[in-house]
Amino acid sequence: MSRNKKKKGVSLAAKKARMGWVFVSPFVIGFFLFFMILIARSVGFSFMEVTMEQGGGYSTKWVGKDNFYYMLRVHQYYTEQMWSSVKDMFLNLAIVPIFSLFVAMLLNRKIKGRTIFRAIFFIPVILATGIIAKADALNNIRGAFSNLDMGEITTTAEEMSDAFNVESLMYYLKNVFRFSPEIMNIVERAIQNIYGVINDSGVQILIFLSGLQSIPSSLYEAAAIEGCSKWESFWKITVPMVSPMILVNFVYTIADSFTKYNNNVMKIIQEEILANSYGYASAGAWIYFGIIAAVVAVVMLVARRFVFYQNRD
Amino acid sequence: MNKNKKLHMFKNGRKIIFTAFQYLILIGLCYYILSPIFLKVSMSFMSENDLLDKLVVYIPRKISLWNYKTAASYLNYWEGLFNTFLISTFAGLIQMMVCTFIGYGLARFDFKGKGAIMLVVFLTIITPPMTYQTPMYLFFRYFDIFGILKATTGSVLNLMDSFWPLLILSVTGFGFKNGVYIYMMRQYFRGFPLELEEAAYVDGSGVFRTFWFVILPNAKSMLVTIFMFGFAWQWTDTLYSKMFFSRIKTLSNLLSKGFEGMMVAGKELGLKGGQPLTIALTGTYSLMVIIPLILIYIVVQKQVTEGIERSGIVG
Repeated sequence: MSRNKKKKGVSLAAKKARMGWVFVSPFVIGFFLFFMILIARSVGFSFMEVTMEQGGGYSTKWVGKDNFYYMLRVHQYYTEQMWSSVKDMFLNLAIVPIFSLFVAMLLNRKIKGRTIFRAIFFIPVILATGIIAKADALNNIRGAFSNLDMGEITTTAEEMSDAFNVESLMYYLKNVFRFSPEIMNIVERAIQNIYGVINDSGVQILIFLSGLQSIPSSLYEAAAIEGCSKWESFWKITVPMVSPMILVNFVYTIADSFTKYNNNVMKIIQEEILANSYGYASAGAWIYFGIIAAVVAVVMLVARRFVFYQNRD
Repeated sequence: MNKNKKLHMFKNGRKIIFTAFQYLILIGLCYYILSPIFLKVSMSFMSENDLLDKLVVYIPRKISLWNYKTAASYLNYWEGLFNTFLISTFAGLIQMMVCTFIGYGLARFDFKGKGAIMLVVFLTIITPPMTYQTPMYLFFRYFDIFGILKATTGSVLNLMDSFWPLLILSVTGFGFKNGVYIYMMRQYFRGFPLELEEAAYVDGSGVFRTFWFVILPNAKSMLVTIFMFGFAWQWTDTLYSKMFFSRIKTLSNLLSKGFEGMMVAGKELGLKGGQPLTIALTGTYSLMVIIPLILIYIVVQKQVTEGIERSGIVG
């Protein structure tokens, strides 16, 4: 009897493993069909000088580590912009996830006009691909040629931040609430760049919102009956239940901060592509990739300890 | 009794202040999001005379639909809308299904090589899209499966200006930001209680049946979010649209084409070359691109939220 049971268990595990492969098969096929090839070619390009030919097609010449040398040592801005991107990313990582959880919780409440608010907070998601910004930029370039004064029409982030009196707020935070300089630094940046923070948080807000919507309301009801305060139920229900999504948002924030269209390193790489220097572009992209991967790995190792899954495996 | 009443009043007062505070924050944040758009909106309703008049800055003298009409006819708005809607719906739905499928496989089943696949998912999330932009163009321009096509038919396929590249990318879960969707679904399913599936298995339901009838209905809010991401990003995508269907009129391709041509050949409209109308027209067209998207989002997400609140998700 017991032998029989054991045998059945083994076959079930094997069957489940097979099912797992069925579920991930599209991805595996895609990987071997093209993704592997694309990555291999791109890595290859980073060691080559690539020349596009007139009739289509391209020719390559092996140049070894020259491209990497060029990007790291010769290129005027690359290294500098890379480190400033890393710094920006850590500031984003400190601000964006907390801010987006906060906004998602507000948007998840049953308040009047919720649909409208949610629709407005969807706008940063739409703008994330940069379509409008690109069209505007194109116009500004064109406008510059026709000697027109664009000053009136482009509202910049700096202008809008003036709506707040940052300095007086900073004074209060420092002297009344006794915030530490590190936190002050983060808060100051968040306020000065609030427009950027909101726009960088659109996707994360939506991810958190869908996570919050999946928390059964019965949990909160039960907690309330047991005499749990709102504050307690936030820490004991909301945070653990959305913690898998917190991890997603960490990873997304890192990736987005590094690779969004208006990141300076991305602009440098794009410039190299436009100048047909595919070798430099690939080398630049892969150095950058190495740094992103290292950051993600560290953050994941630290953060995943704090994630709660209902089914631990 | 009196004490009770006081407590009640205190609680009520706190609630009112709290509500007011949360509206204040939301409205403030919405102001920030909308402020770059306000000017586009007010400009879009100006007539051509208002646009040229230096005295008119924010409020048009007379509401005019000239910008909308001109932008729509010059850049084939309705055709673009139709194409974009079709492509986005198709991309959003396929990506939603495929990523959920893959995410479920990664969350629920144990098999060798799962770690490696997770690693590739992360790789796709963090690789800058430009890293493989050129190789991807070359791949679909000279399409071949491991050299089989060349060996059998003697030539390779050009898949540019067709829906094949998008379809291939979407079906395999390698589309724009699909790594994030896979990871999201995987995280969601890892946090999803096992009991429901186990109950379904005990009742004799197979894996796919369970996935379809038990898992998917419970993951509705996740599915909708992913659909909306895929839909909205396909709608506004400039990278792939330009690369894969430069000849198919989508809204993003049309918008990046711009109104420069019209300004050059704008004599019949009574315009001088280089007049600042391109800004108003581009702004108007930008609005015409994003407004349908917002409306679709409102409809989709309202239906779903109400659905969730009515049924009360199982946990």
